[in-house]
Parts: sequence; structure tokens; C-alpha cells
Amino acid sequence: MKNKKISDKYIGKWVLLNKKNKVIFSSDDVADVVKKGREHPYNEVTIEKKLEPGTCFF
Amino acid sequence: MIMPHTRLLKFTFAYDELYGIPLVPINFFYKDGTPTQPFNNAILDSGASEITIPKSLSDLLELKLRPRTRPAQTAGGEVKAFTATTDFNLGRGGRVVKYTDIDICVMENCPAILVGIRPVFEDYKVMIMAYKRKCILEPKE
Repeated sequence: MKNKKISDKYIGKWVLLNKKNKVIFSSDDVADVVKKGREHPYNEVTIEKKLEPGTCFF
Repeated sequence: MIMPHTRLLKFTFAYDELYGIPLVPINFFYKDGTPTQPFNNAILDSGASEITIPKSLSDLLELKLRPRTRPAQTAGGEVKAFTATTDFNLGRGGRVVKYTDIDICVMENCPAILVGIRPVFEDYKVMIMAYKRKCILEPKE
């Protein structure tokens, strides 16, 4: 998990990344991204939430 | 006694510098047993009592939701939550620990996947070393 610059347009979204860490699909709904990920072989893509740096959760 | 997990492995995860929070890889399973793609950045969160996922993910995985007697208490106030039972893998790339039949929290509008106290912090000595930019999960003795 390297330090990656994220495009503002993806902040707050769930994204599907290819092996080069390029966003190939994004959505506000995690289910859309997980569904899209099912079209690829296991471990060929990964899912991330593009968090706003400094976000507080619990 | 049946263990709810495969053999515990020691993990070292890079501490994410961009977000400034410890992140771990995890994946869940569909009803038919096939795995979801790995989530790179579940948040290792000692402030959460259990693993917590968004309801839309739980719906996709067809998890059976059970009502809770009280709403979940979060920093942002009370949130409607459910309990579900699921399997998941902690880790990725062939180095995974599979957990089976684990009760988790399902929340509406949950902004991320949270890896809370049960079961990971109960099974591991968790060392979050922000100053070294890494976190280590060492199996309990």
C-alpha cells in the first residue's frame, strides 16, 4: 500500500483497480464495484475506498 | 474444539501515508463460496467492536441480517445496524487466514470496511507503529 496521489474525482468513491493501480471502474455504491470485480479473475483486480485524507471514522 | 479460522499467520502491512491510518487487505465470500476481489484498504480500527461493512455489500453477498436491540453508537451518532454471519479472508496474495462463521456488524451508509476488535484484535497482538509507517499483526501466544 504505497503512497498514491488520488484524483479528486474519485475521493469518497469505491474504485476497482487493475494491477497497475489504475482505476477501471468507480461508484458511490460498494456493491456496484464488487459486482464489476466479479467479471475479472480472482486477484487480477482490487477494490478500494478512496478516502478523504484526514477522515475520522469511529 | 473447532477453530473459527485457519492457522494464524504473522502479517506486516505498510501503514498508509496518504490517509494516515492503518489499512489491511480483506475479502469476503458470496453465498456460493466464491471470493470477492480483495479490498485493499479495510481500516484496522480498535474503536470498532467488530468487523463492520456497508449494508449494500451485505445485500450483494446475500447475508442474512438479524436485528439488533439497539442502534450502533458511532462518533457521528446512532446508526441503524444489523448483525450478520459471514466468512472472510484476512491478507492477500496467497498469504491469508480464513475466518469462518464470524458475526459482523452491517450498517447503512458505512463509509468503509472496518476491521474491529472481534475477532482480529482478539487473535492478534496488533502493533500500530505510525512512526515506522507499518502495522504488525502477530498471532497471540
